[in-house]
Amino acid sequence: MGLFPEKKTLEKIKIALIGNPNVGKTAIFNYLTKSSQKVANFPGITVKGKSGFFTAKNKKFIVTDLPGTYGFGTDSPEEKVAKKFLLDEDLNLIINVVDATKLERNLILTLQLTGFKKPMIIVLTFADKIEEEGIDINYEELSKIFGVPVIPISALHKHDLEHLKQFIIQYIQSPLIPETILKADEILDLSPKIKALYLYLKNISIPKKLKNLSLEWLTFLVATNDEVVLEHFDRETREQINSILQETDMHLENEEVPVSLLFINYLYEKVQEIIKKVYSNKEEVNTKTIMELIDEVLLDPIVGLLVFSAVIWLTFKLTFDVSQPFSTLIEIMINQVIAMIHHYLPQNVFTSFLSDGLISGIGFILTFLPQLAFLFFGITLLEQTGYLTRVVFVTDRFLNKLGITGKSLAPLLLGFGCNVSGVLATKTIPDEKERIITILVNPFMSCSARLPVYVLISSALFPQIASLVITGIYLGGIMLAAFMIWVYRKTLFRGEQSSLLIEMPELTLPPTSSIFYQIYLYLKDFTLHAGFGITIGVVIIWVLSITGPSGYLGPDALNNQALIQQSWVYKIGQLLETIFKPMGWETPLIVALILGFIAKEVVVGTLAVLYGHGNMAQLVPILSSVMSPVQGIAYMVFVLTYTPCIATVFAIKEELGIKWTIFSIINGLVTAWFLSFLIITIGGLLL
Amino acid sequence: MRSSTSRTSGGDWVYPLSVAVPGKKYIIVAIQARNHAVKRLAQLGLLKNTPVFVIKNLGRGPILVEARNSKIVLGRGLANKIIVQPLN
Amino acid sequence: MNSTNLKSKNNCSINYYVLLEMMIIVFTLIIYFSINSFSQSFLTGDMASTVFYLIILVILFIGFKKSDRLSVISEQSIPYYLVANVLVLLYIVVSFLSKIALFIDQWLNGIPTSFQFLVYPIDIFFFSGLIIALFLPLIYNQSKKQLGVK
Repeated sequence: MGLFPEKKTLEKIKIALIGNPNVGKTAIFNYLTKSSQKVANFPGITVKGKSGFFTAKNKKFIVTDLPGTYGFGTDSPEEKVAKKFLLDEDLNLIINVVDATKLERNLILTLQLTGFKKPMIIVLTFADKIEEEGIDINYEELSKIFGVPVIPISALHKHDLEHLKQFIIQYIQSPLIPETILKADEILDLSPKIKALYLYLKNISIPKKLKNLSLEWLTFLVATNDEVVLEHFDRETREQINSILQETDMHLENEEVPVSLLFINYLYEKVQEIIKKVYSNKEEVNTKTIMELIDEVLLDPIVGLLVFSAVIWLTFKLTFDVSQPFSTLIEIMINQVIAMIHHYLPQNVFTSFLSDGLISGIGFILTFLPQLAFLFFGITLLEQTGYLTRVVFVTDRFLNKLGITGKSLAPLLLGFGCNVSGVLATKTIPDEKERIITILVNPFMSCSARLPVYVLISSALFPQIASLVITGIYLGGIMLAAFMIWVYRKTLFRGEQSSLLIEMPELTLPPTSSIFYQIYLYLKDFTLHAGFGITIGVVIIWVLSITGPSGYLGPDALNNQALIQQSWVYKIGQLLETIFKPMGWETPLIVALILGFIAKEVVVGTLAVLYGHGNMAQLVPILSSVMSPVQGIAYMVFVLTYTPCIATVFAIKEELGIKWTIFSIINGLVTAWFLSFLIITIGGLLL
Repeated sequence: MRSSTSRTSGGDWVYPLSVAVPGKKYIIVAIQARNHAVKRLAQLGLLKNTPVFVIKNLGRGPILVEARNSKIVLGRGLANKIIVQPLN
Repeated sequence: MNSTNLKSKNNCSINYYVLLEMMIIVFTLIIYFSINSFSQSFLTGDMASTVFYLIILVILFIGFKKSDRLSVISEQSIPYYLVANVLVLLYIVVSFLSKIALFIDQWLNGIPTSFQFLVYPIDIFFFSGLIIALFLPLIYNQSKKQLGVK
């Protein structure tokens, strides 16, 4: 009986989108799934993918965008994710997106996909470009060879995308499974190892999830010791497989060529055969396109760096200048909310918790979002147009001298917005040593949360040259980072440096949807990682400020200078005064540093509370009477260098584990103390 | 570092990609790197017998080549280990 | 060196000499604008902008040096002027946004500010000139395509 009609359960159709990086998968995915997207969490692996859906004809088409991958020959995280997904999920359709202008390399993945024996279609993107370049591809022949439909599209044209969508809806009713192009007799000839394995696998019962795979493809995966595949076999079988592999090893005469390499060579030979049948290039391309000419400028060793400096300066100018009104607006709104709370609710602990703790904490985070949004916008634009690869090219030479490659540049740049984002962005660095170094050094990229501290102290102690001093601090941070990288390379991370190896995509204007989606991802990362930590942190400060060794002080302590001196927060500061004796900083300054561990944003707020004035204009004269210029510089350097904020600490733990996290904290504290001490000493000698 | 140039049995000079001249076409003759690097190169389509066009090589810094219709950036260290022969 | 035809997105060859003529306009405009802005920034103590325009002038100079002919403009220099042009345009956009943002921010904070003249007439003139010069090749292309010229 029903007041409410039964919700019809739609038939679920699972689709996977897979292809090389930079082929236009995102545009297709965005079109198919429009606003239904959410970030896909692939279990056990931190590579991100997206999934979304669309409905049609009583069916729910769930599309998952797998990370871009060139094939299944290495054990990169992207490959693992794709492989696992293709094996574990009960897929109804594989959409292989292929760049028509780079057919040769793209078809390598296509050939390997045929081994999964799942219904498939091949979508050729950049079909409009090949006409321009005088290339002719025989789509019918290609379709015949692979046994599945081949759809040429231009990912920029909506009607092409709509046509594709309609085709998928139709096709799913009677989909085709690709031909077996990887022939058994050809593969068996490659190596005795493969032959032995093939014969063994032929005679045993294959686990359920692997049953669908073509035997040839399965043999290859097993021969390369692929964990994702091997875990489906029981222990006995695995031991058997191991012994076969070892036995055949002993019979190999020459230095062993890894199976995956033999296989890839074989795949390229096959692709050449296919290319001969379907591909013809009419014009000999010896003219240059405008974009290629511009690349000459961007890749010029001197001019390239100049352009990069100009671009990065513009990005930072955009970030800090244009985001101001947004931050101010948010600040005003938060203050309104707090005022309303104080107005409508009785004056008690709970009210204080709500307004001075929770809302203040959330407010802190929100006021930084505009700045971060603009910075992320700038960097995302640079990345998705392909310009960042050019930057990697021109800066690699110098970064190499320090000990890192151009791949570390983007994570370090992101660090200027928020170190959390910078640390998380290091996932794209293939070399583990380099990745660790980049993470450890990231906190020296002075994040935007520290800027208010610099502004406050510089305005107070160096009123005429404030912006010069601040620029100096930023540059100092960069030089410190460079120095630390060099030191790490000489001590903890000795050894051969890995080399750059990346594809350089054509310079293009990316679709706005993918830019905004990426910014959304960055902001979401930041909010989830930092937001939680900061809010908790602010609440803790609040608790420590309204209680003390003598007992509960009450929320008035936040506004009463005399009361606050009895709080825990103040007492802790007094305890640490001895450590900071040489610097000569007063207790409130020390307390601000302690609380700055929770979030750098808190330093200024704490100073305001402890000195009894909320307004920056009022803080300025107080600070200039409490610190000398030298002490001020030492203080700012300390803020620049000492342990990263709690959110960053959590991010580091997530990426590297406890050991490195503790190292990072101690390293920061020691370096900070030492540097401030140095500055005070030198300052004392000079003046 | 091993001798930078030598002749193959066919009588043509071979040398590392890092000293190849921009604007010329070459073919990869051998890759003298560890398996991990070789696999990464293979993924991008750089294998033995692959034709390669050198776009940019400044004697310092990375090298830009075109292979199989796409542009690839190689660090100098890696380029030192790829042995090529000029293609006519 | 034989004249290489430059291809564009639409597979039309831009006639080399026509493009040169357009680039002369671009070059003159940028040089004037950059020197003007450089000196203005220097005089007003705006160090950042001074350095920025210095960079632009250096790029233009290097582009000029790449020219293999005796004239100011040649095929090798064009991309340099194009890139400098784009950078200047980006700068103007960001500066403009920055000034507006500052104005709004001060207004929100209750600091009374007069709506200063954010952009000067002569700036607008050169700004439009630069934009037109940048897009002339593309506009030229489109019209060629419509005329069916190969």
